[in-house]
Amino acid sequence: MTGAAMPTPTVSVPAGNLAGEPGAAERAVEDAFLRRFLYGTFPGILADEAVLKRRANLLVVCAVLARGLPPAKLYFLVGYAKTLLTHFYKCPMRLELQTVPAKVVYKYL
Amino acid sequence: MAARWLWRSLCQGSAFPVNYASRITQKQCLPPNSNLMGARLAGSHVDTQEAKTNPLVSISDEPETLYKRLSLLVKGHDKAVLDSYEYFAVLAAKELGISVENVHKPPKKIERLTLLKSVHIYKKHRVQYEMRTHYMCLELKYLTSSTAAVYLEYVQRNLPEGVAMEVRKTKIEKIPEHIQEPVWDTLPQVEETEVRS
Repeated sequence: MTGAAMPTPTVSVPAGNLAGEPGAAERAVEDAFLRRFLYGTFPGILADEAVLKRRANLLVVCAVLARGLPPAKLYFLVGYAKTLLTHFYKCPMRLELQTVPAKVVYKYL
Repeated sequence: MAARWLWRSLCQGSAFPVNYASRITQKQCLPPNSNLMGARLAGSHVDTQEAKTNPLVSISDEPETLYKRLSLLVKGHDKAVLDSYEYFAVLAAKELGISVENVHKPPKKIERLTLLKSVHIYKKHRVQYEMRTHYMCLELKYLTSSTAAVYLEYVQRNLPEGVAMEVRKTKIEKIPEHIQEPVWDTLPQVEETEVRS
């Protein structure tokens, strides 16, 4: 039985897409950059699409990782990602990670 | 008995942390004994002393601006999120003793886009997207500026992600002096001359 990979829905609902709210395009560009950045920083370990949330100025990234790297290297990568993104986007950033033994299977075909 | 029952319902119903409930216990649970009357007064005095030395509480002599109405318009994509936020905001207003004038839900707005489905040709095949914005309007009446500041800070810090809020305040001001009396009363009286045609 092969597992079907999760269809990639972009799980980030910033307030920019609401009627009369500015900044939809900027948020979309930020989201695209953040997803590519995370895909590159955690090579082959990302189990699922990251969930991006924005509360006022704070940017919260919730990601699920598979257990491929030793914890010391993971801590370094987390610190590197946080500092770089905080300085790049000039806003506080929180990275909430969860490790999972294997990649989450959406559906068996 | 009634006081204890009230305290229990307040404890269970309040969404605030334990410090708030413990302050209520100091005032209500003491029986009205003559020996303890002095102690209860001393306890309430201690509370005001703590408020004065608390760095977060500032006391100023300026008269506060009064707001007739504080209107919060909350917009979101998901109606369930807005419903839970409405429950939270109304509960917070009740706990702080702010009177809620009206909670109503204006109709939703849908923005629809019709785009070409394919990259190059196939003009007859299109894709339609829509973005729904649900609204919820909460109106509070007769607040002072410090109450409004506290309530707004609490409510805005707990705003869910993907939800936007607009705040409109209606101030109450004294009528300026030059309008207080009608102009025709202040003018010198002119004798009416009869017009003979």
